[in-house]
Amino acid sequence: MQKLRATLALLLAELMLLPFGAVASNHREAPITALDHKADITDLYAFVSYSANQAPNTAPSKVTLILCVDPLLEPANGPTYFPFDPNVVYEIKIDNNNDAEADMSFEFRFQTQQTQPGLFTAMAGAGDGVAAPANSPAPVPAGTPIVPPRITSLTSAGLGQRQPYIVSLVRNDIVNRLGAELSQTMYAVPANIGPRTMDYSALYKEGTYSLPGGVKVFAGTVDDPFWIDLGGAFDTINLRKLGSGVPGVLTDMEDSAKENFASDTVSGYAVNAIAIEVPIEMLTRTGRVEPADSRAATIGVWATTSRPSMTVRRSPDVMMNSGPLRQVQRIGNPLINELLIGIGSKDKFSMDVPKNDAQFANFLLDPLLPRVVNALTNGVVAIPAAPRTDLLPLVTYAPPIAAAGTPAGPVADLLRLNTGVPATPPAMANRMGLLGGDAAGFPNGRRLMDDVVDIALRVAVGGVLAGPNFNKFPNNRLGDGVNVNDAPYKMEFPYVAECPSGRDRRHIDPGEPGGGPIQ
Amino acid sequence: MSLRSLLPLLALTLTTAWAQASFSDGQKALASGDAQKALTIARALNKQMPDELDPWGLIVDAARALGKTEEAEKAAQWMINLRPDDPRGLWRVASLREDAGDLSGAEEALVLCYNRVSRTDTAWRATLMKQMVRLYTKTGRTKEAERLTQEISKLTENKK
Repeated sequence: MQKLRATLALLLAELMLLPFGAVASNHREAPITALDHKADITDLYAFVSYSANQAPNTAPSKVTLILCVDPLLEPANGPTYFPFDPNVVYEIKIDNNNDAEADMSFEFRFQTQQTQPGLFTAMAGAGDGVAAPANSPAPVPAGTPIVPPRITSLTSAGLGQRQPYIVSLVRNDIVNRLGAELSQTMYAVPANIGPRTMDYSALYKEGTYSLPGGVKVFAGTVDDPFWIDLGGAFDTINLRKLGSGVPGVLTDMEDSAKENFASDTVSGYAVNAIAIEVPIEMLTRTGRVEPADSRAATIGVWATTSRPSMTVRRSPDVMMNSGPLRQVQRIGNPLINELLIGIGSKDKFSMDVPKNDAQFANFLLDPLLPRVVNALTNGVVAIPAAPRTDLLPLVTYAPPIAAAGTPAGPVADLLRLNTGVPATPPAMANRMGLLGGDAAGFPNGRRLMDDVVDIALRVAVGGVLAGPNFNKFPNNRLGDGVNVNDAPYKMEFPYVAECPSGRDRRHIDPGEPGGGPIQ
Repeated sequence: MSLRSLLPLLALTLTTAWAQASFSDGQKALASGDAQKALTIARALNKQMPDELDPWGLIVDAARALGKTEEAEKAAQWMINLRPDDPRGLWRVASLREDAGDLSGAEEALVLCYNRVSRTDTAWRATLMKQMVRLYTKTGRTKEAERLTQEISKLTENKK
């Protein structure tokens, strides 16, 4: 120990010449996912599956889980487009006994294959294929195939870069590959390059796989299902001035309309999505579909991305050295890390486990964002006093999501879904979810059509759950003016809209038709 | 601009100054042999700014000096998880592996660390090279140790 101290003292004497944070060149590191787009999670959705002709109060039977990663993909951005990262393990985790620990997880791993290594782009195709013309210079004779046929299948020749993947169910450290009995290889659906190159709709359909046991899976580049006036939100909450005349406050008409009054910054952009639909019996701790008033009906869902990691202590078994993973990011509820956690704690939050979230309680119980809005509106938007116990239902198992008597569990950022609540027929769904009287909407899980930005503004900022003093105008009309996605969602698994065409995509900007005002 | 409007900025500056002063106090405490005080300071700093590597590093160093290997290793693991390529974490990994008798592992981490230190950072490069000399000596590679010792001399000569 004395020798160790002497060594330490020597090293410290040398290092003490350097000031705090100056021992390396990267002191002001950006939060880690800003540097690691492939592992950057954008959104997580969990909801009871529904169909276009869903009748009210249909008994729940399946749950759909969707994880989106790799944000703001410009569909025209070739030539390599947007493969999943084979070095990232993508997981969706389930807690079914209220302890905020994973009782099972669905694990997705991808590989990348190059089948056209001489081609200058990852994908190419046209018509039935295009051959060299009569005046083709030597040594390529006329009639030699030059451009492969239009891509109509995930095994078409023009798909020069493709990604097979495997899905596993991990329970009690036992890994079972789903669909292993199928001889078919599952491929991720590529980005939609454009109509000459591919029939994207056909690829989307082919890439939706049915596995034994009532499981369906999908992975691929799709329309980003999220919508938000990103510019208004992050310009220090500089939301647009709409009908009410107060920035960020909607009129009743704007609030109830299924159209946009401000620019959806994400419009025309794509994202990489992983989706799985499973029977509810697979998720609950009883192995049964539980009624909504059962203490076993509510599950907690979160997703992670992880990369292989170096460990301080190496395993004596060298074959184990590639095993450990370091979590890069996680997500439960939307916007928690983005809007509530302090910038100096975001990476720790991303890389820790939900059951340790009590360490971040100060951000949740006295969030800065409401104070910012309170200040920027000069008090027009009044906010509840700290501690914000009105926010606790988002981070514990509690009514109105979980049945009365369900153990609350530790404070943990999980997306909680009561699997016993029937899906609302799509035509009757309310974008405000539970706030709008729609029991199947966020924060009871999260559907694609739930307007989590407006809900977060009203709940986290406006404090509408804190009582009638806050559940009134203008707090209950806070909103960014973006009410719907730019592309309609599908009415069946995997629900996400098709990737915008790279050739023809449109980003709807402020001042344009459908993009609302610039001010 | 009114003083009132400057207050949030001032608070931010004070926080940073507090962190710098605390970190410096922690370093001094550790160098003077009061590792327990250093550890207390480091833990408090870490709670305030968990994404910053330096408080984690001070936890590693103080816990290591106190023989709290588990805490040191846990903190070092956070360092390389948060910033996998940052030399501050890799250097601690090398040291902890050396403590545990994993000399080839220490060498591996030390090389990774060395390759990520700026070529102009002579003091730190020399420190790392000295640590490598020790590893060479421990593993009986005296020729490599001698060669590297000469390199260190050249490096420090050039600095003068």
